[in-house]
Amino acid sequence: MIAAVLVLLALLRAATPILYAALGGLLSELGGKINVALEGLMLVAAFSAVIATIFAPPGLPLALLPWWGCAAGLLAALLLAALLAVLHLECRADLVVAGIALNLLAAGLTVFLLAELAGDKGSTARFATPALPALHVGGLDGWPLLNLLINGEAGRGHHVLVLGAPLLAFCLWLFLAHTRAGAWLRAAGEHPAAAHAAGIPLRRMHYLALLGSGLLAGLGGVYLAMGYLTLFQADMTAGRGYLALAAIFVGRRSLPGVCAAALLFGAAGVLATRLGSLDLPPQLLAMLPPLTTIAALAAPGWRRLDSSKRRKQA
Amino acid sequence: MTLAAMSTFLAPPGARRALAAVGVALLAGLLLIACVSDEPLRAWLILLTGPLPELRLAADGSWHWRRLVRFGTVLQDTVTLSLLGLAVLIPFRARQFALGADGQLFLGALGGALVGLAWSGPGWMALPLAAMAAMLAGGLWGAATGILKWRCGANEMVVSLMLNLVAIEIYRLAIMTWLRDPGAGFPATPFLPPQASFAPLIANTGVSAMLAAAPLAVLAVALLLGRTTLGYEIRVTGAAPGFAATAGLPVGRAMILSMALGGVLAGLAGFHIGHAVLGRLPVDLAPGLGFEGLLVALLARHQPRAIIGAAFFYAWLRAGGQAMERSTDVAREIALVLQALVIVLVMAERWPWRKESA
Amino acid sequence: MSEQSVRLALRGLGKRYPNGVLANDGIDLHLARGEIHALIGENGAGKSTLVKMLYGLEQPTAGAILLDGCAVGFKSPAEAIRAGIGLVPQHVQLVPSFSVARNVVLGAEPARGGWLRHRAAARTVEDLAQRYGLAADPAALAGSLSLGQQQRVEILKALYRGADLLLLDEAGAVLSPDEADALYRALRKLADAGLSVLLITHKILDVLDVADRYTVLRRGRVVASGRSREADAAGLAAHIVGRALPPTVDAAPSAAPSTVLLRARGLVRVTGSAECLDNVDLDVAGGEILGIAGVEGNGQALLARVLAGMGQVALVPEDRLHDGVAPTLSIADNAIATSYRSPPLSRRGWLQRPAIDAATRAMLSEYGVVARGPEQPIGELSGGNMQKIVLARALASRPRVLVACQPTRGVDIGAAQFLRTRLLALRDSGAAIVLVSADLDEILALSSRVAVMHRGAIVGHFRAAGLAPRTLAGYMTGALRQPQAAARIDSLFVAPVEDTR
Repeated sequence: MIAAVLVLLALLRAATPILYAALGGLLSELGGKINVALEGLMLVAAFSAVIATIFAPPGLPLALLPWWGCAAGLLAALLLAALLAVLHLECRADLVVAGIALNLLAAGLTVFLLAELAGDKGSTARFATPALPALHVGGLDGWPLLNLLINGEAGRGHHVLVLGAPLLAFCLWLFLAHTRAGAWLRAAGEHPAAAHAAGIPLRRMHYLALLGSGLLAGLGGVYLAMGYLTLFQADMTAGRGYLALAAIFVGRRSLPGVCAAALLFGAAGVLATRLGSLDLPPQLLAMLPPLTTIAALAAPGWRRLDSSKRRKQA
Repeated sequence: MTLAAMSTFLAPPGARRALAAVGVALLAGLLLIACVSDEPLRAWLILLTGPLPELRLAADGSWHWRRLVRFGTVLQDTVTLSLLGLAVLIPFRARQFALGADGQLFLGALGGALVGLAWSGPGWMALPLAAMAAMLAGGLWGAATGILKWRCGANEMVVSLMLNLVAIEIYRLAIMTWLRDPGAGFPATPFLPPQASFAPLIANTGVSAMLAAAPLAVLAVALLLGRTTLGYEIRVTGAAPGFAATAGLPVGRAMILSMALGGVLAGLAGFHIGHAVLGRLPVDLAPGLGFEGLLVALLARHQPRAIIGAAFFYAWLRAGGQAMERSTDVAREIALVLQALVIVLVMAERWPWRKESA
Repeated sequence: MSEQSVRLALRGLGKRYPNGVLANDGIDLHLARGEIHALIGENGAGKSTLVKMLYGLEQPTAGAILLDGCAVGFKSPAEAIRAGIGLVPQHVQLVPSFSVARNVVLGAEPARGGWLRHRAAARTVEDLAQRYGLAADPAALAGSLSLGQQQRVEILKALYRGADLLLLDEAGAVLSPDEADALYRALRKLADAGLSVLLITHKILDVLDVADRYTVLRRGRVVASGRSREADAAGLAAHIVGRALPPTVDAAPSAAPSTVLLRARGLVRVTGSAECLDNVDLDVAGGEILGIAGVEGNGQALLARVLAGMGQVALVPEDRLHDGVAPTLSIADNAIATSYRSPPLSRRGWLQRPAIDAATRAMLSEYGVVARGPEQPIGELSGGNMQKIVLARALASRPRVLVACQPTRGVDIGAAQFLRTRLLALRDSGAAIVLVSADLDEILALSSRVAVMHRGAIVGHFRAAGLAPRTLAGYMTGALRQPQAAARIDSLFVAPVEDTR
């Protein structure tokens, strides 16, 4: 039982960055603009958060340092998302091509600046950069299982961003279902002609979609560098941004579906590490997450194909 | 051919924009270098001119080429990037964002190495067979993405990226378990036998007869797209999918074949890496070349005739960055930044401050 | 009628598009409070341009619009909405995954500080629905409603924004008779409550059933207007279509029709809308043209696609820009799309460029298309020239059967004549042609037999000789129906019933 809870906790930790990015991608997708730059957004956010804490102004109190980094990371992601928005909405660049190009730009820029500013091409490991705090609830010593669930393995609680992810998913649901801005965003994405005829400012909605997705993906990147690990390394995101995209497709563009898919992809990663204790070649295990993703993407289409074939034979 | 026709061929409509983007990006590079370096101008000039070979007058009065090795890397990288650029270009013309060139390159290198190491038949057949094995491996891997897209509607961008990861693991598994050279200092295959290797044309480089592969591949792709029925189907499917379906064109087949042919070229690029450039396959061959191929294709605006120029530019930038890093305090990754920046500039169809009429 | 009660007046309103087309010319019209006014005309008569000017989507180039006596000019729909004009569009613009209530209030939702007030929205919608007799369930999803119900939601949308002048663009076009009745009753109730309704339509019955007054447009001009009490269907039809154009092409067949080349029996496709197939039987013989008439959206396009899918049947598709051409590709690339697989255009997978070039040039000169050359992107040509290439391509494979959908839509008169001549030449060479067209003049001029489709079924089958457009009108709207009508070659031709209402 304890082992199951431990696996669950590891799963949540692994899924958190993907979930943030997927929520961001879902936001922009529902607004009618697919954001393939999630990978680059996470990367610049992670990088900026760490670099900002390394180069923080000397007078900054220690307790504020992680939040300073978090703010820097989010700002960086917002700027990159703004660049994407301007390139597509003002300069008429193709949205997917622009997203891919910005991913490549982010990858090159972060490694370059890492080398220049931190003096090390691999990572910032030699600096001791902080993590965002964890939240824990005291007084649960009498209930070990509950204590484990709420306070994690070492009893120090869960990282604030891990707790924040499901909270943010809920807030996103509130936004989309119960606010006027959310309704306008969804209308702009689902039926732009109807939205335009109703007087909704389409361009503003598209900016909102892209910038909002940048902010959410940025949170995922900040968690990677100030929670999951406490450093920045080159290519830290390792394809999570694209996994988030896959989660949107697998989850059929619905909030619960996307959350479930993000958890699934997190699980695949955790499973691979757990299976590492078995006597299997590590490369086979490393294949597991991408194969899971492919299976998840192909399965719905396969089922539909199957049912239509059956109908034809009937 | 008239002068006008020649100039249209050599300077297609997007060329001016591409050249302007390159110019602006290089200037931006200067600014970026100025932020991080103590001697920005010198670093920038080395970035731009580093790969140039020198002709020096030696003491005995004869001319010698110096720094040919660096220029050699530019040439060999041009071949690799040209093939990779073409590998991305073909699916793109069918409107498929297939990013699987990386994985196809790895599997192509693996396939070629398998044949190269195992072949015991007539020596002259080793290289052609290895090349064919590489192309077959890459082509099948590319077709896999296409089939998943066509049969299951799976998004080709994500599928091809996932297949990249799987392909890289297959590569690593094969080298670690079956192909490992016990005598090597680091995990790698044994050196490929001479019958399965290319002799270098420039000493200490990977420049080989494969230099011809780049222009031949460009010609082949240009002929494919412009002169064959398959190329026609690919182009029409990409330009107007609704029209293609109504006119009865085999849209699915065109889609899958476009990705398969892209895989063939990426596999050939892998063959080039293994048999010409490196001579053996290390387990830690760096992924990411496929993305540079994407950059080449984007810079070339998906026109085959511009691929070699774009590949040469990127290869030059990369070598220049290495030269710059060796002589100054600027990291060579700035080349990556400039490469991506050029694309960002090329992509913009119009500038927001210039209000054109719609 | 006193001046004060005139809500809307148009004085000499005109619109000339930048490309020279004169869509509206000197239109005078007035609409009183509490009046339902029908604006009738065929496709292309200028009705939609007029509506666009009233809704701020286009600007007039001549004349004036007066609301309550004051001249107005709307630069955008938002301005028109503020002035109290509401548009119920031809194609519903509802967000499918939103509920009725959310769609009605879209863009002007009741909210407190950004938070939606769903219950208030639902209540408002219920109140409106009850007040004007428009039954609607606020919680139903818009995507699950029938077309008639969706249209009612569109009306509620306009009413929610405070419209007191409703523009209904072809509202009854695709409704079933029951739904249309419900709509008209609702309109009557709205009018009785003091709203003005401008009903844009091409159905004569709308005029007679629900409108107080009417105006007929033809080719951009007003040709008749008056009180619907004093109108008769025959007279109206004559105004709408004008006298049948004297055939400018000699449509008499050169030989009697021969063997049946295309036979279809019992075609059924259920789609839940009027665009379906309901047990269609048809035959077409070599050497004749079968015309399919009907209001758009009653299954003709579907029938054409089904027939074309049978193989060996050439098709001129309805949506030229989407299905007929690839606008960014060259003329040559477009021209060979159906014939590129065989010699002389290609040999063993290799395109023969000289042959393609020659064939395209021949096509261009034969069809009188002025272009820079085969390499010019086809999207740069005019609609008429593009359609010529589309037809040329369809005919290049020397088909025995051709299905042509709206072949002269959006095509200038000269090109249209040319295309029609070509169709007749194809017919004379022994091919069978199915002609789907919304242009009744064209159908009657070219066809030997005419079948009328309504809601996916063939409701009338006539010999074309001596048939007048107004005769077809009743069948097209579903008011008249031949029992067991079918377009079979052996169907007895029943004398068409004159619509004498």
